[in-house]
Amino acid sequence: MEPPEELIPKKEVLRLTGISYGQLYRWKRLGLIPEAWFIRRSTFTGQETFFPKEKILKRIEDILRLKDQYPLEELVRLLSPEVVPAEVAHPDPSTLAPIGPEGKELLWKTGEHTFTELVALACGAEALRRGAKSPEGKLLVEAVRGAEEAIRAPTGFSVILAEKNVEREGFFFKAPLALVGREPILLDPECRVKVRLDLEKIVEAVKLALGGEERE
Amino acid sequence: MSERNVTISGSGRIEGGTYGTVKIAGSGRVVGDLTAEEFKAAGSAKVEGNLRAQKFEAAGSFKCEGDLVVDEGEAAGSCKVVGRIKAKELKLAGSVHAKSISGGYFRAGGALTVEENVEVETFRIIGAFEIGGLLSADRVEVELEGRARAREIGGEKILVRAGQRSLGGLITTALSLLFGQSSTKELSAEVIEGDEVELEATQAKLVRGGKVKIGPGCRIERVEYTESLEVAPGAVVKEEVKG
Repeated sequence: MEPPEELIPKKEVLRLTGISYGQLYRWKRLGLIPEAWFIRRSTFTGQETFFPKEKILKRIEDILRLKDQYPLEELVRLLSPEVVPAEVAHPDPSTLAPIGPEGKELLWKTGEHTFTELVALACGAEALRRGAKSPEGKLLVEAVRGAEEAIRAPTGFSVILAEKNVEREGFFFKAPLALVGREPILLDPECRVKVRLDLEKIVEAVKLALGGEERE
Repeated sequence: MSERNVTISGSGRIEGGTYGTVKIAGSGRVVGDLTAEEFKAAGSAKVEGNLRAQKFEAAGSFKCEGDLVVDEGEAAGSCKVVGRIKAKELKLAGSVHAKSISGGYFRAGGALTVEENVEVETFRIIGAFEIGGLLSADRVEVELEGRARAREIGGEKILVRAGQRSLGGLITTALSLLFGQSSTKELSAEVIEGDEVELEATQAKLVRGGKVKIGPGCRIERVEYTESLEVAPGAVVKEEVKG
């Protein structure tokens, strides 16, 4: 099991990034910062809001970097994982950075790919880059392709590639296992996790790559 | 798009659907979801579904059992929306009830009850409110006439003033009818956060901001500020923290 996500108090977020309260609340209102990231906890001074540290800092960095190039409403479409583009029909997935040349061997068809299919390919390609074998990558793509609901609201979802030791008629072999689920995910001790991906990050990366293409 | 226009005078009902202009004078009921360019009701109107309109006007008693989505809306009297209100511009007078409110410009006079969050660009109210969640706007302006409460208030600029209206004014009379006889003018919240915060007659556990002014009638447990803090005589701040 990976350690739980590190949290950061709101005040610290403002101090580290230099953004104002006005900006933070405006971005929340526009959906640039998902409601699910606002975590209310009791502290000695009363209620305080915390955020998943890595995610919020990355998101604010992205907003600050992109806000002069795009109108805020457009940024929502690019960054917010809750807003999944429905009308994507991408002809050549391997040109998108999160999929890349590694993803070529995972393609099961030519022609147009939907957003879900692109996310699935990006998961598979990332697994390959982390040392997974081609059939394992393909298995992962299969698993993610069926997880449309999770892709629509990916906060807290992981994509896992594991292998399990199996014994049959005296022979030992390793069977690959691919799954998409909401953390915490518990596997039996016979399983070894080879790759664990944060689905939300992959969804964001694909959206950003699509957005970048549109501008060219 | 079909350009069906429909008018109810007296008493009647219409089926939901897509219309040009819908006018209700008297008592009217809409069964099902309604989409209209313009929706005008005077008297008593009830929409049993979602209402989507570019222009929305209601006077008297209005009830929507679903969501109300409008570009430009005005309501006077009693306006009850069981679902969410989304509006680019909304001006309300009287008593308003909704599950949540989101949008651009929001102005109200009277009593506002919202179960969840109010998140708009500009929020102006003269009167009282009860907001179960977060009240957030770039600019929050409150002139208190009665009791107001929100769990959290946040935005760029937050201004809360105790209303100067004398008793017997129309709004005060309306409010005392709605909330019982009470001349208390007070806002309470757990947390208030803004880049500029100016408060009067406010009780809060925590106020945080850049420039903070704590005015008369305030009782604040803890103020955290980064630029400046002014505390009026008679205001109580238990703990001040800079930085």
